[in-house]
Amino acid sequence: MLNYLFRRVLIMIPMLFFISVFVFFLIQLPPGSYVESYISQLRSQGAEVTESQVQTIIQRYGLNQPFYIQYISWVKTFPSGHFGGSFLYGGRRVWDVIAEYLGFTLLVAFSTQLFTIIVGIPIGIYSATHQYTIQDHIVTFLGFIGLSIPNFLLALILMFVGYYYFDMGVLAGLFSDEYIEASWSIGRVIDLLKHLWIPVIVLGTAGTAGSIRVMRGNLLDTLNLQYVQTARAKGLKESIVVYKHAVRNAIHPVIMGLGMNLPMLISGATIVSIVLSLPTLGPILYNALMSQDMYLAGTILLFQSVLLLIGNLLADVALAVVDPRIKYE
Amino acid sequence: MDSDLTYEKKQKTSETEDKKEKNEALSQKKLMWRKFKRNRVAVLGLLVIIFIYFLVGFANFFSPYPQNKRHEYYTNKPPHIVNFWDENGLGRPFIYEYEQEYDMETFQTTYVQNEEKKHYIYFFNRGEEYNLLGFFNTDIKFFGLEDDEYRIFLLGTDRFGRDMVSRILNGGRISLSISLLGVLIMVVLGSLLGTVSGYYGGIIDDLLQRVIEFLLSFPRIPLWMALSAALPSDWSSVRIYIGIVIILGAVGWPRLGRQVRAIVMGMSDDEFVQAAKSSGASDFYIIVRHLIPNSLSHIIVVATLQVPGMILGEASLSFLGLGIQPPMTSWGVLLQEVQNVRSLALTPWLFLPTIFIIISILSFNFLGDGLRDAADPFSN
Amino acid sequence: MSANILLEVNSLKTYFHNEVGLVKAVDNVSFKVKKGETLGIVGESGCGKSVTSLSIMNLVPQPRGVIEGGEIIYHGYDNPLEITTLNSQSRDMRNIRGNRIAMIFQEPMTSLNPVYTVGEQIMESVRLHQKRDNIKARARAIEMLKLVGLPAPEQIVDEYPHELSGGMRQRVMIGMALSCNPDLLIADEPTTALDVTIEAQILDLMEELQDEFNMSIMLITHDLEVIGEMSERVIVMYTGKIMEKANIDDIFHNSKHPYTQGLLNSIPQIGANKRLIPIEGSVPDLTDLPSGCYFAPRCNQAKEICWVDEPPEYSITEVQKAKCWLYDGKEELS
Repeated sequence: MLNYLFRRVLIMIPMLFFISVFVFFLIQLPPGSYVESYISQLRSQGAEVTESQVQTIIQRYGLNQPFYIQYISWVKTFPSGHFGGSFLYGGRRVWDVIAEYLGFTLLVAFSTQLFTIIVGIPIGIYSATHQYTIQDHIVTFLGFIGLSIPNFLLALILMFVGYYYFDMGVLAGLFSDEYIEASWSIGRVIDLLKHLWIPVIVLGTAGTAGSIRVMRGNLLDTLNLQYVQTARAKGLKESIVVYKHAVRNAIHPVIMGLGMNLPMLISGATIVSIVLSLPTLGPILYNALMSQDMYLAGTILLFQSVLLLIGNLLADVALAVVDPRIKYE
Repeated sequence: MDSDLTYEKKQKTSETEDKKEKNEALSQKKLMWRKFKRNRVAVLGLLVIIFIYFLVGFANFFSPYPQNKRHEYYTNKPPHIVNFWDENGLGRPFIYEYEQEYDMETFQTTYVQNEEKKHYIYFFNRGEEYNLLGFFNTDIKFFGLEDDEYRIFLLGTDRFGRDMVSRILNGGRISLSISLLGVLIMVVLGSLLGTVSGYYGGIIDDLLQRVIEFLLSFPRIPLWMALSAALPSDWSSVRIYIGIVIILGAVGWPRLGRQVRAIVMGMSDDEFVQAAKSSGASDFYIIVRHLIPNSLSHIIVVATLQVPGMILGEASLSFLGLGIQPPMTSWGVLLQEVQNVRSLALTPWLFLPTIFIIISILSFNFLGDGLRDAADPFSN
Repeated sequence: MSANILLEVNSLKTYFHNEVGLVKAVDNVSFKVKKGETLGIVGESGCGKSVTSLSIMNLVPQPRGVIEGGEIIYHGYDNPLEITTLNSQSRDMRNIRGNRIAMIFQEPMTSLNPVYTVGEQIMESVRLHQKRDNIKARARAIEMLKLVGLPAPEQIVDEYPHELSGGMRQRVMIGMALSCNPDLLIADEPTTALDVTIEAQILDLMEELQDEFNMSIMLITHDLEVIGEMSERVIVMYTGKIMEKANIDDIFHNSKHPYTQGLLNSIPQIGANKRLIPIEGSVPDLTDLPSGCYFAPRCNQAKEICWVDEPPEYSITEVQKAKCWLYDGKEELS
C-alpha cells in the first residue's frame, strides 16, 4: 500500500510539470498582456502614462522575456511559496492572495460536503429500503430534478425567488454588510452561518441528489446479494442486516464519489461564487482571467488541478480502507 | 428406422430453434424501442426536445420581430395576455393594449390592460423579411398583429424594447446548436480515440491514456473559463461561436474515450473480432464494422447525457461574458439580465430563459436515462 | 404426531405476485422431516425447492412473495410452533432462524460478507443466540472452524472471505450454520458451485457433523447423485409440486413417476454402458402452465387424462407416493 502510494505520488510529479506548462501556456494565450489592458485603463481614467513607465512595468514582471524564461522564473518561485506577483493586487504575492480566500473556499466546500453526506446517505437508504412506495417515488423524482438543475441556475432562481416572493433582500455574500470588514466575534460567526446555508444548498443539491441515487441503487443491488440473505438466515434484525451488512458494502461508491466531489466542489463553485458574490477563489479566478493577471490565474488553475489529483488519490485510498478486497500492489 | 425418426425430429427442432434465434437477433432493436416506449418520462423528454428544436429551428418564423430590433416605445413591457373571449363569445384571439400607470406613493410603474384598445392576432401574416433555414427569404410569420399601430410581445420586452419571444427562440437556436455540435465533436474524438486506444493497446494506448489522464486532471469549469478567456476579443461572433463549440467538445471527450476504450478492450477478445481477424479483415474494417457499431448504443447514451452539460457550459460561459458575444444571442447571454436581482424584480419575465434552459436539460436527462435503461439488457 | 418428527410442512402454498402474473412457486407441498434424518429434495431449477426452504425460514422475498396457505410446524420446542403465523421480523422467528434452523447456500463465493472477517461473521451468530461475550464467541468461532476441518483456525478466524477458496468458504458457512447447534440444517445446493473432489469432502463433512450434532438435514439439490450419497428419503419436485416421495433405494431402483425415471435416465452411471436419454422439452413457464399434469407435455407415457386433469397423489407403499395417473386404481395400500 505504501509502495503504491509512493508510486502514485511519483507519477504525479511529471503530471504536475505538464499541467503547469499547459496552465502557463493557457494564460499566455490571450492576445495582449496585462500591461496593455492596465495602461489603456489608466489612460481612460485620464492618467498620463509615459513610455518609460510602461517599460518599467514590463521589466518588473519580465513580460518581454520569451515564454520559457517567464515559465522558469514562475516555477522558481514555487519552493518559496511565492507563486509570482499579482498585477491585480498591486504586486502582492499570489499565494497571499489565494490564502486570503482559501479559508472561505474550503469552508463552503466542506460544509457542502457535510450537507451532502448528512442528507443524501440516509435518504438514499430510506428510499432503497422502501422501494416502490410513494415516498420512494417522490425521492427519486425530486432527486432527478435536483441532479438536473445546474447549480448556478439554482443560485439565480433562489436569489430571484427570495427577493421577489419572500422579500429576503439580495441573497449574496457570506456576511451582512456590517460584518464584512469586522473582526471575528460570536456575532460574526452567527451572521456567517445565516448566510452559509444558501451556497450550501445551491452547491449541495446536485451532489445530494447524486448521493441519494447512487446510495439507493447500490443498496438495492446489495440487498439482493447472497450474504444479505445469509445475515437474515442467522436471525439478525432487519435493521442490522441493512446497516451492518448491506449499507457497509453499498456505501463504497458513495464514499468514492464524495472523495472526488470535494475538489470538484471547489472548482465547480466558481460560477456560483460569482453569482452569489462569495469571498472565495471563484470570483478571483474570474477577475484574474478577465484582466490577464496571469500568475494569479495560473496559480489558481494549478492549485485546483492539484486538488483534483489529490482528491482522486484520496478516493482510491479511501476505497482500499473500506473494502478489504482491494489491495494496491 | 427408429433412430432415423428421432434424428429427423431433432433436426426439425434445431431448425425451429435457429429461426427463433434469428428472430430474437432481429428484434434486438425493436426490443430496445419497446422498452424505451414503456418509459413514459423518457418519451415525454423526447417529445419536448423535438418540440423545442422545432421551435428554435424555425425561430424566425415563430417570432414576430427580429431579435435585435429595439421597439423604442415598448421598453420593459410585461407579456401580453392572449384573450379568446370577447362580448361575441369565442373568436379570433386578441390582446389589449397596456397602459402605463405611475404610482405616486410607491414610485413604481405598473401596467394595466386598456380594455378599450383591442388588437387581433393574425396567423401566417407578413412581417419583416428573413431567411428561413438558409434556403430562401420570406416574410411570412407564424403570428403577429395586422398593422404597425401596436406591437405584440407574448413574453414581454427587455430594457431596450427587444421582443423576448424572438430573443429566447433565437438564443435557443445558438445554445442548442452549440451543445449538439459540441457533443458531436466529443463523440467523434472520444469514440475514435477510445476505439484506437482499446484496439491497438501497447504504446498508442499508453500514450492516449496519459493524454486522457492529463486532460481529466483539470477541473472542467475553470478550464472552460481559461480557454474561452483566451479567445481573442476582436473575433467575430461566428468565430467565437465556433471557438466555444471546439472548447466544449475538446474538454468533454476524454471521459467518453475512456469508456469506449473499456468496451472495445472487452470486445477485442470476443469471438466475432477474433473471427474477423483470422479471416484477414483489416483493422479499419474491424473497427468500423464491428467495434464502433457494437459500442454505438453506449455512445448514444453517453452523448445524450452529455448534451445538458454542453448547454450548461455555453450558458455559464456566455453568462460570464466569456462566451457568445452580442449581436449574437444565446440563453447564456439572456441570463446576464437575470443576475441583477433588483431590476429583475421589476421585470420578472426576463427570468423566462432560465426555465427554457432547465426544461431542455431535464428533457435530455429524461431521454438519456430512458435510452440507457433501454440499451441495458439487464434492466427491467 | 409421532415424537420423532422435527418439522412438518402441510399443503404449503407460496406464490409470487410478479409483473408478468401470479407464479405459484410452491403449490400444495406437504412433507415431514424426522429428527436426525437427511431429507433430499431434488428437482430442476425453478421447481420450487429453494422457495420451499425460504418459506421454512420465513424469508420469502417481500412484498412479492407471499405464503398463501398451508402450515409449517416446528416441533423442536416443547409445544409445536406454526412458523407461517409468525411475522418474518418477529423475535420468535428470529430466535428460530440461525439458532434452531440454520441454512447454507449454493454460492460460497457470495454468501459471506466481503467486508467482515470470517470470525466476526461466526461470532455474530454466537453472540446473538447464545448470549456469549466477545472472547467466548471468538473461542467458539475458532472451535467451529477447527470442527469443519480448516487448517490453522486461529489464523483463519481473522481472515477475510476473499482470502479463502470456495471449498474453505463453504466450510466456514457450515461452521457458521452449526455454531448454535441447530436442529435442522437446510443446505440449498451446498456443493453445486464446487469442484467434484471438494464436493465429496463437503458432503462427508456434513454427514460427520450430522451425527455429532444430532441434527436433521434438508438437502436441496438438482443432483441425484448427491442425494443418493446423503439422504434416506427423497422428494422429487417439479413446477412447484411434489411428483414423488420415496426412500432412496426406491428412487434409484423402483421409481414410479415418469419424471423421476427421466431424471435417472439423464445421469451417467459409471460402469453402465447405457445411452443417456435427456427429458425432452423444457420446464414450462410458471406463469403459463398447461392444464392437467404439468409434466404431461414432456412425459413419454402421457395419457389423455394427463392433459385434462391434475393427478392426485397415489400411495404406492406407505412411504412411496407418486403424483401420476399411471397409478390410478393400482394403489397397494389405502
